Amino acid sequence: MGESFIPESVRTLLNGAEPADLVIGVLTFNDKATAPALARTLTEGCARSFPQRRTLVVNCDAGSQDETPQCIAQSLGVDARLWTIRHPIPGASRTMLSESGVPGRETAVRILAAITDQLNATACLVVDGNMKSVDTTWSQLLADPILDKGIDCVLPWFRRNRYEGTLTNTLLAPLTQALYGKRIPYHLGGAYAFSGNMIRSFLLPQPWDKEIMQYGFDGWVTTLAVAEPLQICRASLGPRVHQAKPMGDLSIIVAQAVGCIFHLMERYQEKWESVTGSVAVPTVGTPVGLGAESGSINVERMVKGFRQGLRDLLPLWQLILSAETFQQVLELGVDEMDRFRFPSSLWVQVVYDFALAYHNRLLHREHLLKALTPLYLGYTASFLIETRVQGVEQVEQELARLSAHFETMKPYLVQRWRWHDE
Amino acid sequence: MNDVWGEAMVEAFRDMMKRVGLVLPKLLALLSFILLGVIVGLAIKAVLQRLLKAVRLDVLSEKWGLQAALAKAGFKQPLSQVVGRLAFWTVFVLFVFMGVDALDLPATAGLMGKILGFLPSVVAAGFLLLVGVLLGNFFAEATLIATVNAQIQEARFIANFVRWGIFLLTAAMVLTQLGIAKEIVVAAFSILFGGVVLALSIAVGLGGRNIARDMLERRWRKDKEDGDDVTHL
Repeated sequence: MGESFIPESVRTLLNGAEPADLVIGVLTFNDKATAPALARTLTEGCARSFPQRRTLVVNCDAGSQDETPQCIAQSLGVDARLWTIRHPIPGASRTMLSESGVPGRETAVRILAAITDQLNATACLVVDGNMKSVDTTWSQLLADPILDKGIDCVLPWFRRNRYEGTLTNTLLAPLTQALYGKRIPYHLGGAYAFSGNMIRSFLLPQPWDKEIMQYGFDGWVTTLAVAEPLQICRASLGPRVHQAKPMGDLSIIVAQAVGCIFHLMERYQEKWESVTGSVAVPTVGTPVGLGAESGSINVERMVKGFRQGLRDLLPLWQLILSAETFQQVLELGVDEMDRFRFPSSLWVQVVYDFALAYHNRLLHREHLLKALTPLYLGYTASFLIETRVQGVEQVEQELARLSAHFETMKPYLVQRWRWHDE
Repeated sequence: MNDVWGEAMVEAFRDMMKRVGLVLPKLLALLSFILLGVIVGLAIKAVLQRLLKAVRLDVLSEKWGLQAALAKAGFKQPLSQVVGRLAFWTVFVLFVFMGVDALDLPATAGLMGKILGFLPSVVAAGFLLLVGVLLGNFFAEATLIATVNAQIQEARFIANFVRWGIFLLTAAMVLTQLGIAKEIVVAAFSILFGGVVLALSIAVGLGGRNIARDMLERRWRKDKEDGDDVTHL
């Protein structure tokens, strides 16, 4: 296993370091406002929940200008076992999008994984330094399943409002569920926990440099958790309140998030092809549903975005979509705004056609992924128009129906995928 | 009288036969070169295609997205076949020129030498043309998608502008490479390109003031309206 990514300063720290049971990684970049309190809350939670366990806090900082590492050290006091690391930021990683706003985040996680491995720790917690909603229960919710229940990976599950994470709810989560047969919320970022076993056997041996630089850490590790033979659970961490950092253009978000799943579909083809149905993943903490608030939404602009795609991107969509799907998409453009409907079954067909076109390389891959954006806007607009006067339960039911569509229409994907490979 | 007539006839016949005797081998050489060109060309095509298939060029070109780009540029066949056909025609044309050179006609004297001297420029020009067409289509597609996603109504116009700008630049480079009316091409390109930029500047600066103001206002309003509570991830 190559360890050239570990900085010299970390090697020095590791030389002769005392073992630890639990490594708490806090990833920061100019997070003075949130990270010191977060680090203290997590260590207090650990001291309360696991008094016998040896804990090491590692602050991986991307070069903060606001003295975040010093503030964290001050906040934890001299008694805490704290390592402060300035992790390198590879050039390719600067374009990666993450709500944490930490550049080179994947390198930081990789260093944390290596530290966990070298210190023979049982678990590693990775928490973004910009999280505001961390409380003392988080340490237990994230670490307890690994330390006491033999779980390998704990994924976050946040309480979100009904229209938060529409790409996640209408594409990323249901597609992952249909592919790998595990019902996870696919909430990216915030907090994760990994077992030493997962780190040694699955995380560190992966081709980090090539894949994660392209698609980002969060989608990659979430897919890895459901695709590999690992024991996983989701931790209900309450609402996700964080110091938001700009995420960039929607088409780039779509390309990176969806591209990650499509890319890994090629690697895990043998695993997802045979999966039918799905099972719920165990939950720690109190299960949460969608929040009722919907906020202000400009549906009209979404429909306009879709219609412009329909006008200008037709030749590309014709290449990507099957004849039947293309015909149905064409017919969507004529409806009035209030009567605009994008059927769920058609959306699933569109997503599967894009996955197939990505696999068959019908178009430059980045162009293909970005060409999905107007269709996503169209489906989201339709979903919002259809559900905005309904209660939150109906929204949840609608999302469950969509997930079921993804599962029942999976043979459509499998057959065409195999047909191309033959 | 009869003797003179007879001698003239015989001499003319002899001359004719002598000339035919001189030309016939050259004609045969031409036909042989053409036949040889077909045989060698086909052999090279077959060997090259097998070699390229063995190194999985078609699979790799599909994987790199080159096949899709070539299809857009008008090459519908797999890359190995395109390369094979190009090799065949190159070899065939070379043999034909060798045959024409063998005819030893005053008009074609040194043709082969000239052709061989010009060949690097032709190959370079062909390569430039291919790269130009591929780049033009690639950047036009990228521009179209980006502008549609930014909801700019003039998306297709901007994409076509990018495509034809690159094609124009490529055409100028190809003609310069071939040495065809170098000065005229450079001057024409400079005038045309400068003219387009000037026309756009004037259009935006004078004629399009109101449109530009409207666009900025729309953009400003849109930015203000961007406070949607829909988050995507």
